[in-house]
Amino acid sequence: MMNLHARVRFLGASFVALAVVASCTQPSTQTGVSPSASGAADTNKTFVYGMPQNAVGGCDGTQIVVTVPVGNCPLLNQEALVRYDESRKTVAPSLATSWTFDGTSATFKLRPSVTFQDGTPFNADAVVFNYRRVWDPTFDANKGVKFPLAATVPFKSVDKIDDMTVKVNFTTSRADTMLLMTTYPAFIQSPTAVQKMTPADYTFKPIGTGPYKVTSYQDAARFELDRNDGYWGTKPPAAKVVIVIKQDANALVSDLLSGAIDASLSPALEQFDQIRNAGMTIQTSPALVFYGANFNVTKPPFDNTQMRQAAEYAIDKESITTLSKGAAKPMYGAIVDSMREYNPDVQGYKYDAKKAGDMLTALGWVLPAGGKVRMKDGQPLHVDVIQRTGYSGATTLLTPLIVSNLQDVGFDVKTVTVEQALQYTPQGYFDLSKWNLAVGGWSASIPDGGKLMENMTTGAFVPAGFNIGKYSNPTFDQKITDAAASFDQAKHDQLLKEAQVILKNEAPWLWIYQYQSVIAFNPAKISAAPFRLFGQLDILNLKFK
Amino acid sequence: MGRYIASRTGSSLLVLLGASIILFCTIRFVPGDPITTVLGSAGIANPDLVARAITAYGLDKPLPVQYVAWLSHVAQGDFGFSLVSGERVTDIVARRVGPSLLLGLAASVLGLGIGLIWGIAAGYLSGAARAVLRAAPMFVLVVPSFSVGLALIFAFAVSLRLLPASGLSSPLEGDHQSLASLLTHLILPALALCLVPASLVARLTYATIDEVEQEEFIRTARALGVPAARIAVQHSLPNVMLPIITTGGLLVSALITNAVLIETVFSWPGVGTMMVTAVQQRDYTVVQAGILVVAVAYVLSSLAVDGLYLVVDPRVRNPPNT
Repeated sequence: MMNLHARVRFLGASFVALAVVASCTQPSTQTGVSPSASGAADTNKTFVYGMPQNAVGGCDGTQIVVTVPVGNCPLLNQEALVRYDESRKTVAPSLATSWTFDGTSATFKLRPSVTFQDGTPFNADAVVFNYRRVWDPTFDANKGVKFPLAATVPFKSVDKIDDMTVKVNFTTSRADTMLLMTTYPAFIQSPTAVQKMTPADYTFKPIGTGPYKVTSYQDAARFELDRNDGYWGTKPPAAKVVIVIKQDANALVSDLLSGAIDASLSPALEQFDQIRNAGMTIQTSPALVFYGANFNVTKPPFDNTQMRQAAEYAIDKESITTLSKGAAKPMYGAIVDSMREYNPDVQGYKYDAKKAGDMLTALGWVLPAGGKVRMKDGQPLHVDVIQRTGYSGATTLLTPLIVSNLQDVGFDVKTVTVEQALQYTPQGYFDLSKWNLAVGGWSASIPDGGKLMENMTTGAFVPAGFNIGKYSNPTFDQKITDAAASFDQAKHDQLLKEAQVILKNEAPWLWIYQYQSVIAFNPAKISAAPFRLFGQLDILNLKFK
Repeated sequence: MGRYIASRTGSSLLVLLGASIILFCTIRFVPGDPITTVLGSAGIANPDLVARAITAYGLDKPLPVQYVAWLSHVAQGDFGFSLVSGERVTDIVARRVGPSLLLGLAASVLGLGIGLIWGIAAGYLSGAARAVLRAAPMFVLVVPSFSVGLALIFAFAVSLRLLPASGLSSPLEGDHQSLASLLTHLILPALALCLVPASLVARLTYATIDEVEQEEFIRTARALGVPAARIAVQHSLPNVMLPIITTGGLLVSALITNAVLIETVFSWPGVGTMMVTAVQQRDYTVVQAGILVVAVAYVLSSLAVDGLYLVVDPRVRNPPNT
């Protein structure tokens, strides 16, 4: 059976992976953890954190199919050569102290005097081993392991220049390759430890260079990490981190209120008041994860741009903030204002039901006297909205909001629900005959607006990608391609700003809200719980009382 | 007696075989498969790649071929690897069986004890107490067990902070759990899980008492002036046990059904929660192993019931025609 897992890995070699986000968005890799805790003094305290699910595939970052908000284990245990500096929005040193990058290759100078948690040295041999393990099917350590996200980094070859220098060659020339080098498939682990255990065992006992050592791991139940006292960077504040996994978010809230845990990720919206009344703190933080819906542009009525624009105006995006008690932030375009490539000149579709109604009327869809559904040539304005099961938090509000708002302006709406497991299959969202509007979420694999908008190009049609509604515009595609190939940041950003104008005008997506990571914590134990870009709690920068 | 045991064991094995075939097929007839689910979540939607993965896992073979291959491995104690996580299924199931057995046993003992006391009281008390005790089982049976679980958590864990809200151990204990901690974690889920079987036992007990009390030998004993307590203990109650044993299988099935809900509410790391996740992910190998565990538990409990019959019913031990 392990050979079969290896085969799955080979099969992944030709896809462009996106992100699994909050278990209900499209798939993605994740950037490496910040190596330094900013100003948080190390303590002897234990932090007990409850999460509703953990990443599938254990704690070996290179092997997991990660759900972003819960990908804490590898992020605490392992590091890549470079990391993403979230405050400066740029790639920064991590296990490499410096590098040169010419598009098709990068040469890294490795950080000296770093050891893995098993005491073995970090050097060029270790880097070569790790990268070949992930992408090279002829390499022994590559056999018997699955690397679902391996192809997200365009590895071509890796050469040891000297003990502390490596050169990595890439199959493509893209400006965002160094960002990809911060992600899970590029995480470095102890070759000695990897070779000592079977892959099924290793993923629960990984050995990285990171700030925490994994001391126990029960999949889907609990894992425990101790601070790595030999860590090369600033030591994190918590001496021990215990992660408790319980599928039922209500159970975690009960644990929090009864004092068994210090914090809980993603409590249910209906429990917010109970949590606050019990003296606990709820904190939200925007993540680069987005929700809304895809228009199916291959058939009426949303093959018409004005019809899509009318639907955009019909949705009251602001109301989701109130309804979700702050767990969602409205968004009006493909790129949010916290991203470098955001175009402030693009004004999105703010809620205007009257304008939506006027546009529908202008298109010939008229409300009959006393009727609630618009008609044209004797046909009702009918749309099928598809959603999947298993939503939680603010996402549970998404379909009801869309349906009620569309009904308010005269749409006849039917909701089709498919099981979560079938979402991205021919029995679900890939069957375009089933729906006009598909509710879901999306994220970039890296914090790059171009990568995010690649989801919307012709090249991302199913099965190559997740442009499930089949929006296509050659001009838009070209701008995204040119941006990806441009190493001039100003030009790259300008192209993406122009691409946002096209998306705004053509409205192929119904952008509704930006996901907010929500944490409930005990203020008697923690004073601040910062989050990272993709929604993980930044355990390295916790502030204890 | 030997023939009886052999017959029951043989039929139990046939039941297991039949159940394994039905369930093996059922999970595969449900739309969706683990490959599409896992690769889909990793961003792989290409039908060719999905098809090649399905072939690699042998999921494209005819069902009988897949079944025979699976059964031959199972016969050697090899349940394969999880199609989703890659972990050995025996490891996954082994982690879950213990907590489920513990919860099931605790709920069985509690259910039987509470149900008997409740039923006997409802059988022999009179007045308002009798009426309340006789109406209560119906009330318990119509209230979903997960609601009872949530109420218990709110009362004893969140409000009073007397008992842990969920899980098998407290977060800080990990693998080094004390017996006292284990018992405190067990109380609320066991209580929530035992209520349905306790109600069934109570109803059966007082109904049987009512029936037995009308029997001639009881009336005769009363006419002879035998004290009521002695009649109850020596003559009436032994006859109550037989129907309770008879329905033991039903009680086990009620326990297993409700255990899935209770394990979810209390985040109890048992077979039930494992199965829920595995079914959602179409993780065939884990589902099959879990179902087999449940089927074995059911069959073993049925065998145990049959064994008890041998002990308590002389008509089974020594059939009249032998």
